[in-house]
Amino acid sequence: MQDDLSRKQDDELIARTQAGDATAFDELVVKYSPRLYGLVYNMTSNHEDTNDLMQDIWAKAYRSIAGFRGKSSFYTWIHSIGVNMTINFLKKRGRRYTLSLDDIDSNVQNDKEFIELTATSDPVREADLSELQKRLNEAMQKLSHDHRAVVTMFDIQGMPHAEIAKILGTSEGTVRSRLFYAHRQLQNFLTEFHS
Amino acid sequence: MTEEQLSALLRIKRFEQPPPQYFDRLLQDIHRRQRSELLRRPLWKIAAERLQTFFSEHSMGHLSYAGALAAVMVVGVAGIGLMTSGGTVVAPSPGYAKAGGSTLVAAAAPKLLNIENAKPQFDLDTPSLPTAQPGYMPVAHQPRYIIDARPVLYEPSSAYSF
Repeated sequence: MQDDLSRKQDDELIARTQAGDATAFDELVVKYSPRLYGLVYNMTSNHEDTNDLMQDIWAKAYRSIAGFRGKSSFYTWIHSIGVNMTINFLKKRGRRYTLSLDDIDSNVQNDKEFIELTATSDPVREADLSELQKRLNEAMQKLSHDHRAVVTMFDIQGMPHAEIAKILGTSEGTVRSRLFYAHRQLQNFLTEFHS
Repeated sequence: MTEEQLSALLRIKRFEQPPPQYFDRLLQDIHRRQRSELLRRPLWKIAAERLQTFFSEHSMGHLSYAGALAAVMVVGVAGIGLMTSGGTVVAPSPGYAKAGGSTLVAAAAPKLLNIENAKPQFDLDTPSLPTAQPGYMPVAHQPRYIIDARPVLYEPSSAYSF
């Protein structure tokens, strides 16, 4: 997931942060926030909650970075904090939430990968994209927190099974099993919508 | 809906991103929060952190922390003990000896008690020096000795005669 150069840079930034250089920590925030945001955002389905959680996650990371010994990559470490804090938040929040996952970046409509994805997929071509998105988000919210975390990391963020297993502290088999059941649930819900 | 179609749909969700200026604002929010957390920290936490920094500046290992702390505690306890006892040595209690505090003290304590509690034994048949023991009466036929510090000289001394 992470190349050696990136990991070397991270190690240097971590060492500087541990030595008291706050600007090095800022560089880590800038580097990892977009991916971390995607993870939290797709799990909570709410902008405000995501913003609050992002601050909580980075605050916790700053407090704990002195104890970071590099057993895993910083990427894995910060994602573990992110997933655990988001799951705890979701457990507390229960069913009180409002969906706000309806914004696709307008600049992305011209993105090559985005055009390919929307053109090759039949349901996307047939249905109104925003309506389909809404349905998908609703379906995602019906999944358990653990299943949603796995779908977010594998299908949306493109992480390999091994990396997800490390982040969640489980086996690859558990990750694959959760993915299988989560996909089946999502398929059932979206098939109902299309039929 | 097939597995591929579902995967394609889910991949579209990666384009759901906040506005570009969001991450600049996030960094500012994190800074603000760090500052406010620094101000809200309790006094003991600041003191503990300063102590930790002091030890880390002197490049001490974790075991050295424990050693230094133990030494400080021993000196402190000994100091408090000396102050409260007023400098006198307090005899160890039997409980202390039983608890294995000092086997030497435990072994010596009963012997000392025996010596203290033992009754004096006198053999009246054999002559002995009079003592100040209560209940002892000197017998009339026994010789009485008077020991002077200086021998008595009844002759006049010639040394000081004029």
